[in-house]
Amino acid sequence: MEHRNGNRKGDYAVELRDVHKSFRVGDEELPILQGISTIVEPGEFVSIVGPSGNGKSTLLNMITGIDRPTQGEILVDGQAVHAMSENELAKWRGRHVGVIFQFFQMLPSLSLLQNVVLPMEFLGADAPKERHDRAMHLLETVGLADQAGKLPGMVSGGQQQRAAIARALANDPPLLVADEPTGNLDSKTAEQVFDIFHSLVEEEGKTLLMVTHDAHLAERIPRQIRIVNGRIVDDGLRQAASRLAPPLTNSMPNLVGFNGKLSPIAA
Amino acid sequence: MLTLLSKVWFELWQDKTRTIQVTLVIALGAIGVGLVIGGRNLVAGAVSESWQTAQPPHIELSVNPPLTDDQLDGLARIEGVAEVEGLYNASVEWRLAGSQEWQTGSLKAREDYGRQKMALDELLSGEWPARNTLAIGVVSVGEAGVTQGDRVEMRFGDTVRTFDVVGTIDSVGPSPVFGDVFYADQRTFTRITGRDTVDWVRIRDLAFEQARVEATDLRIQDYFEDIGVDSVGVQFPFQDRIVPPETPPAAAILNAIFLLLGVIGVIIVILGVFLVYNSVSAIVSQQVGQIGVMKAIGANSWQVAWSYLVLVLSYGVLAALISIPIGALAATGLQNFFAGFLNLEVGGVSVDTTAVLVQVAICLVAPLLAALVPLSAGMRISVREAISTYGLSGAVGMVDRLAARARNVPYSLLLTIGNTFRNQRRVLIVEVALVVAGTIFMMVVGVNDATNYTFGQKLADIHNYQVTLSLEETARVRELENTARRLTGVSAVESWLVTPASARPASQPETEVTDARVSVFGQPPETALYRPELQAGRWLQPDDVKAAVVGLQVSNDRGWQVGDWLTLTDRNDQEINVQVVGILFDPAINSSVHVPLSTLQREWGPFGKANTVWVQTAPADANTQTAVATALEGALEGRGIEVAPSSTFGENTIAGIIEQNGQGPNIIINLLVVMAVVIALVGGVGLSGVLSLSVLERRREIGVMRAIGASSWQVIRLFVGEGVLLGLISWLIALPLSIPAAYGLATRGLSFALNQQLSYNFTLLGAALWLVIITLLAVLASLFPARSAARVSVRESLAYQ
Repeated sequence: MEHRNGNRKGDYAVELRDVHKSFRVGDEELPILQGISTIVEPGEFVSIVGPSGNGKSTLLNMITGIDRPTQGEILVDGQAVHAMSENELAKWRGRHVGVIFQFFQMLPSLSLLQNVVLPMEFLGADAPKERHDRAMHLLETVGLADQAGKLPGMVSGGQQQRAAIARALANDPPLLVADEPTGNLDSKTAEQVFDIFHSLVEEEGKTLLMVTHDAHLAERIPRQIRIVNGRIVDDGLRQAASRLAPPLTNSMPNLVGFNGKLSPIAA
Repeated sequence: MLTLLSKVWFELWQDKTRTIQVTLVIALGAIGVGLVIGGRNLVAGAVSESWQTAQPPHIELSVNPPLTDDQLDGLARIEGVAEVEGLYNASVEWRLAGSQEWQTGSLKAREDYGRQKMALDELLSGEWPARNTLAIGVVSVGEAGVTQGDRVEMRFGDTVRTFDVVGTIDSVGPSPVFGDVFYADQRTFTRITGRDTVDWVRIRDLAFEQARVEATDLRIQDYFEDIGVDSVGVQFPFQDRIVPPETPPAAAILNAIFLLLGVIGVIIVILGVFLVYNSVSAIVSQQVGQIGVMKAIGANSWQVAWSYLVLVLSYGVLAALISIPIGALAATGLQNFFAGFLNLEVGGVSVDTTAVLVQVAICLVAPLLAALVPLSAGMRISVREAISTYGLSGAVGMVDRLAARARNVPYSLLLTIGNTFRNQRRVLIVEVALVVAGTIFMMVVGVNDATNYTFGQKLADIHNYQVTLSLEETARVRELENTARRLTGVSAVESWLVTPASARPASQPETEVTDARVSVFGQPPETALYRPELQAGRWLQPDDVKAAVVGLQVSNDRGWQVGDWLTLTDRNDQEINVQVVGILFDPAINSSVHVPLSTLQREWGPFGKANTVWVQTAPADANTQTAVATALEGALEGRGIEVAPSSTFGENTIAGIIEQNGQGPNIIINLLVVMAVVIALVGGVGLSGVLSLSVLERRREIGVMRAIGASSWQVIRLFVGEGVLLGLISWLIALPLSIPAAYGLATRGLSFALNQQLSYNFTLLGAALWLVIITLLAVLASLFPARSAARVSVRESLAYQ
């Protein structure tokens, strides 16, 4: 099968093969995901939608390795995530996945800048000065350069979420995963965040998976995977080919800067 | 991982309360151990150093009868005796010239102060005593108020002489000083006492070797037996004959005391480690979300754990900075405390290297070890579990289920009880700390009660008299008692014969130097003034002739039992065979043998005479005692009956005897109280830490309570209630544990250290005192966290993140 970006079959950003997940609650096995199989191409912007409690966040956790399937295979960029150890997963996540949480999850004792630097330190790439410069650039691109020295508790929820996006981009991962990233934001801020996501996909070629309850936002995302009762009822592959949602605002600056290499490129 | 260092700094600085709490529990443990190790090493070092400087003898004996110069020369010719030095000792009465009251004291003399050989004395100021002058012991300067330049009157027998005090003297080595001590030259001593013979000898070989010195001692014993001299060891406190140079005076007691303090110190450290475990466990629990996020953004377990280990190490470094100087000061204080007791000069603040190293190890290593378990548990939490933290905890324990079934109990009380046991492991650890603190505190109070009881009420019950005098010579019983009865305030009087003797099993044909040294009391069997506590057998009966009742300590030491026959030998080598019919306990003396007065008078003579007077006064208050003692002494002296400077038990009144006996235990108990206070502080800080963590973990719960109407006071009451409940539970558990602990320490540990059997008596004082202390401690420890909880706003606590 030929894909949008011309990759050969098998070079998917994400591939799920008959993934099952159940939780034990007391004496019962509660099935959360039942036979999930789908693919996500590199550079796709995908929303995962469905009623509450039907497995959307669980599916996202499978893909990032935060949780493990009871059965099935999960391949991200060709790598079998389900087979890695915890420490392997942590290191892999640092390089290959940027995670954005609903509740921001900024470390309260570190400044915004330090929160962005942290994943780079964990990965161990680059010298401290270069990490610092890259982190400042990332904060600049999300409009937070002047808040870099502040603790998360001193900035608004929207600013924290933008800083969280900058942190997710720290090691320039190909895949970004966002679980209800706008769930805790007002509509205006939510739009700003969505615009950043859109730019990351269109201009940086990132693959972005986003769980959302916001139907308005979901409609503007090229592809929707609908999950009901732990099953994919619509994997949105036909939609993806025909839809492309433009941004509603151009209020965010264009993303320029580091291409993952040490030397910056001109704006 | 430089960025995570910022996190560590933030944790240290932002949560100062927690930093202080964790640092304190570590520091208190290190201080406790540093105090004991440093104190012991400093004391041992000072004692050993000064002991060597003093040129200690290898053998030190009291001899009776005193030795003549020829006999001293004979001693010097014994194989193994390289040096001999004789000393002169006597009990005297003295007073400052112009004052009224006579006091008892000791008079010591050497042949030549300029050519001392052993156990040196040094002249601190003025001049050595010379013809018709005296010097004063430095300890007596403070206690007796006599200084160089004063004139003192000295009475021995019925002769009073006046002397100038021309110098101040102190012993070079450590030697406990009891009472007022004066120094004279040999001629002056002879002039005062009429005696020119030595009653104290010190002997050295060329070098000390245990077996060699023991062999020399045997030869000395043979020599003394040939010349009819009795000798007994005088080394404090167990009257050892042989004195190894590396074993300074009171070494056994010091070692026992420091061992006991060391055990308590180790307990404090262990408690501190558990409390650090608690704190780290709570930090990890509180920050599990952050741990999950760090793992989600690429950190491996080691990278996450590293930051917490650095945090714990930081607490340790802070604790070391606090505990090392405080430990050094405390150890110096302990050194000075014992130096005073041992009459030792020490100066300035000293730092013991071993103590410092141990404190550093405790501060740095112990917390890291304590943190490993909770950290490794925290690192094992999955990222999914770690980051899925919002809403209120749904954990319900057994206590909650029981509380849910309770009827007619205020819900706030149920909430307090349920909250207290929410985190059972943490509660268990802090309860252990509080129980140990309470047990040790109540044990110390119990031991104090035991000593007060033994040397107070029990002693007074047994010694049913208020005044006692000893005579220089025996006098007619009728004259003694009639003289006493004529005095105002005397309600009853008896006269006894009291004489030193040796005691051996009757099956042993001859006396040995190792025979028991006892005081033989010839008393009327129907005496009303002596009511001993019998441990076995019976007291003397009117028709007893060869019966004896022996003291508990000496019978335990020697293995004597009821029915055994003993041979008593007095100074004149007169012997009596007696049968043990009873064993008694008397805290005032631990080596006594009591026989019928008539038996002693008949066997050892003289018949119809006695050498001690025992008087009951009415009223029995201390002033009456002193007045009667003075009047009786005057009355007897007026009839030409010489009164000895000190009585059988030292003091002339029961009030003085009780006070004198209580001094020794107080030294040890004061030290135990210090350790008990330290351990109580550890418990209090631990409790405060647990409650602070509880507030942090239950912020949302507090917010919900306030959202549904709880006032600040109700929130405060909840947390203070938790603290008090934990304190009260610990009290209930500690109380039954403290009773056997106090019994064991009093009747075994302290009895050994004091060489005096103590009698245990349970009182509620320790329990009541600790109940008050732990309640106050719990309230204080919980007040700050409780107020912090009350200040949590609904909005802040329920905000996500």
